[in-house]
Amino acid sequence: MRRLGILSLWFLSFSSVFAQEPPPQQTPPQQPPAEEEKPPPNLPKFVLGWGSWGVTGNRTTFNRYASMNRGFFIKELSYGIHEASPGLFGEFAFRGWPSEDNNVETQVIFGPNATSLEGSFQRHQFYRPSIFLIDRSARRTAEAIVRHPINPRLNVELEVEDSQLDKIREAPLNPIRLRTDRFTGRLASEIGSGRAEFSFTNRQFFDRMNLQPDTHAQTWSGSYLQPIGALSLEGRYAETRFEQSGLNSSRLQSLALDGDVSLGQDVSLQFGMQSSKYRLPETLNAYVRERATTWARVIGFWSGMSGQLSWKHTETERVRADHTFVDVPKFNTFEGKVSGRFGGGPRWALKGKWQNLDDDAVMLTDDPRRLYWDDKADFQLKLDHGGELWSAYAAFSHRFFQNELRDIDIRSNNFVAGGSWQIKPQVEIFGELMFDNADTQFTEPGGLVGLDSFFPSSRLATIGVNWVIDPDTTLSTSYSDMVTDNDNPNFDPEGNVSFRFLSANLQHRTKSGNRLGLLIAPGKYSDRAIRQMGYNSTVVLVTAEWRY
Amino acid sequence: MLLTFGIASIVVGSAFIQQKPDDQRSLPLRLFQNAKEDDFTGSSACAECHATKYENFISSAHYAYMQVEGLPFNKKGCEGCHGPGKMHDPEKDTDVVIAFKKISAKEVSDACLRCHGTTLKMSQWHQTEHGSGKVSCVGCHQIHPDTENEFNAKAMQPLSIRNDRFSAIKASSKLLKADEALLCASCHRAEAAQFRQTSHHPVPEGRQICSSCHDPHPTKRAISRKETLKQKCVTCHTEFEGPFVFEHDPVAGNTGDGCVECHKPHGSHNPSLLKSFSRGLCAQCHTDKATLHFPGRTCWQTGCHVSHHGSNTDPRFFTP
Repeated sequence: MRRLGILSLWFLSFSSVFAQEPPPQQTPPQQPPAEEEKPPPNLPKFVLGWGSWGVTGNRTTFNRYASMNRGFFIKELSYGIHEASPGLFGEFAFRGWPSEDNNVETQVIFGPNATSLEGSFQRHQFYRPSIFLIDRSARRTAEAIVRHPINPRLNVELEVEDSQLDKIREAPLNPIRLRTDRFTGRLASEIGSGRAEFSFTNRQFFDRMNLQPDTHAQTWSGSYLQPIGALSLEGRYAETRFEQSGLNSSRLQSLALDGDVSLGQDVSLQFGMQSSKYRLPETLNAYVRERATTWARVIGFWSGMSGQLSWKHTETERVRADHTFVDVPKFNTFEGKVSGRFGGGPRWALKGKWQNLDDDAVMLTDDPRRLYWDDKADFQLKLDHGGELWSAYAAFSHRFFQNELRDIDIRSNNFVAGGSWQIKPQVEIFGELMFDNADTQFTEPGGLVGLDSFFPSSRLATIGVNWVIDPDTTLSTSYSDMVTDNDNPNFDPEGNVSFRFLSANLQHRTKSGNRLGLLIAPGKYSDRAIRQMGYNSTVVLVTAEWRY
Repeated sequence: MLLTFGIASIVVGSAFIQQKPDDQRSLPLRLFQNAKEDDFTGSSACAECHATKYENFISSAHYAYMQVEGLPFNKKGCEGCHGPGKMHDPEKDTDVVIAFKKISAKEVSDACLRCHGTTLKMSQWHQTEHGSGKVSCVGCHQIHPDTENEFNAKAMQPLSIRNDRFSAIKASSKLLKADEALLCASCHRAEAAQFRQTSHHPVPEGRQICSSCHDPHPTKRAISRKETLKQKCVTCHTEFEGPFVFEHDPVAGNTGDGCVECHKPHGSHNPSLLKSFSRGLCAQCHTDKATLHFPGRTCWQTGCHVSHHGSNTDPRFFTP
C-alpha cells in the first residue's frame, strides 16, 4: 500500500508538472491543408477458405505446433478505417473461424490526442508428438494495451494479458495446466534532454494441477538517462517481490549504471555495471545471492568498416542450504566483431566471443568435479552479396565448450548458404542449404557408448521457383528435404527424422481486383527409429478473397 | 577499481566537453532548429508532386499519431519528418530536404528521435546491436505503406519462413517495411534458416513473431543484455520461473546461460529445441552419469528427473 501511495504521488506530481509545460514551440498549430480533409477509402477484406489435411499416420506429429484449418473457414475478415481529420486509424482482423486455431486483432488510434488501443485474442491447439493416444494441448492468450500521450513529452502505457496453457504430455509426465495474469503500467517522459521511465508489473501464476505453489510477483522499476555533453549516463533500479502460497516471500533487487561516450567522430566507448541481490529464504541448494557485472565496449568506424571490442566481468556469490558463503565463480567474456565490404561490394562480418571461468566454483555433488564449462567460444563468419537480379549469402558458425576437469569438449558447426536468381523477367529460382553437426570425444570409462552418440548431425535443403505466369497469375513452388544422422542407441523418438515437403501455391487476381488461391502441399515425415511417429499428408487449401 | 577510476575520469572529463557547434550538428537537427514558421508550406504543397506518397501517408498509423493536439507545426505532416518545404525546391539552389534513403544512419535517428524521445534516446539505441551496427530506423520502418512494396517484391520473398497453410497468424506492426519474420530474415539469415528445422518456436505457424522474444527498442519491456535470458523466456513459460526450493543452477541463469544452456531458441534437429539428443543433454555436464547411471531413455521421460527446471519437493528433481 505504501508503494502504491508513492506511485500515485509520483504519477500525479509528474503529470501535473508536464501537463503545465508548454509545447517546445509556442506557435499555434497550423490548420490542416484542404487536401488532408479527404478521407481515403476504407478497406474491408473477406477471405473464404476451404482446407483438407489428407493425413495418414501420426496426427500428433502433424499438428505439433498448431492446427491447420479444415473444411470451410474464414481465413481473414478485416476492416480498416482511416480518417484524415481529426485523425483516426483503425484496423480489425479476424482469422480462422470456426477452426480450432483462430485469432482476433485490433488497433485503433484516436484523434485528436493519438490515444491508441490494441487488443488481441489468440487460440491455438497442438499436440506433444507421441505414439500413444494423447489429448490435445491448447494455449489461449488475450491481451489489451492502451497508450496515451498525456502531452508530447509524457506517455503512459497500460497493458493487461491473460494466458492459459493446457499442455498434455506423454505419461509418466504430468500435464501442465496453468494460468498467468499480467498487468503492466509504464510512464515514460522526456525531462529536458534526459529521459525517465517508471514501470510496475504485477504477475500472477496459478498452477491448476496444484503441483506448484501459486506465485504472485510484483516488479517496480525506474530509470533515468541524462546526456552530459558527449556523455550519456543512465541509472536503473528494479525490485521484484515473489509471494508464493505456503512459502516465505523472496526478493530480487537490481541496480545498474550504463554510459555511452563519444570519443571523436567515429569512436565511442560504452560501459556499465550492474549489481543484483537475491533473497531466496526458501531455496535450499546452491543459489546465487549476489551477482555483479561490469562491462565495457569500444566501437569504431573507419574506411567503410566497423569494429567492436568488448569485455564483461561477472562475479556470482553462491550460498548453500544453511545460507553460509560457499564460493564466488567469476566469468570473463571477451567479444569482437568486424564488418565491412570487399571493394564496396560483398558484405562480410566476422565475430567471435570467448567466455572463461576461473576455478573458484566448488561442487558438493557426489562427483566433486566442477559442472561448469571452463571455456565457451563462439565464432561466426557471414557473407552477403546481391545485384539487380540475384542475391547470395553464406554463414558459418562454430561453437566450442570445454570442461577440463571432466575431460570433455564439444564442438558444433552450423553452415547455411543460399541465394536467389531471376533467370527470366517472369521466373526466379531460389535455394538454401544448411548443415548442422556436433561432436565430442568423451567416453565414460566402462561405458557402453560415447557421448558422441547423442550429438546428431542434419542436412536441410530447400529449392524453389517463383513464376509470374501473367500479370495477374503467379505460381510459387518450393521443395524441402531434411534428414538427421543419429546413432540413437536407446531408440528414442524424433531422433532419426527425415521429411520431404513440396508446396505449390497458385494465386490469381481477377479483373475486379479479387483473388483466388490454390495451395497443394504433399509431404512425408518419417522417424526411422519409431515408425509410428511418421505421417504422410496432402494438404489442399483453396482461398477466395474479396476486397470492397 | 581501475574501471571505476576510468569511468569516473570519463564522467568528469565529459562534463567539460562542449556541445557541438551548430555547423557540426546533423542535417535534421540544423534544419529544424534554423527553420521559421514561414518556411513550412503544409502537406498540400508536397502532395502536388508526391501524390502517391501523400495518399499512402495519410492512411498510415503514423499520420494518426501526428494529429496530436498541441503538436508544434514543425512536427506535423510531411514536413514534420522531411523538413521545411520552402527549403526544398529542386529548380532552385535551395534544395535542402531530409531524404531518408540518402542520409546517414545517425542523421535518420536524429530526425526520428526529435519526436520519439519518450521511446528511447540516442545512447540507448547505440547500446543495441542494431544501433552499434549503424542500422537506422528506416532500415526496418516504413512510414508510407506503399501499395507496391519494393521490399516484398523480389529477392526477399523466397526467404520467408512463414508457412502459408496456417491462418491464425499474429500480425506484424503496421509501421514495418514487411512482415516481421521476413524483414528480420533479410539480415539474420542463419537464424531464420533454423526455423526450418523439425523442432522450432512456432514462428512459421504464425503463433509468434520475432518481437515476441526480441526487443529491438531496448527500453520497451526492457531486458538489457546484462540481465539473464531466463527472464525473457518465462514471460510465456511461467511454470519454470520459480523461485524453487531446489534450483537447477544453470537453469536459474545466474551462473550459466539460463534456458539457452540446454535449448536452441530458434530451432534444432533435436526434440524440444534441445542442443543435444536424449540423455546426452544431461550427460554433457553430468559426465559421471553418461551411460552407467540407468542407461535407458531420456533422463526425464523415464519418469525420474521430471522437474529438471526446478523442484519444490526433491533435490534430485524427481517430483515437482
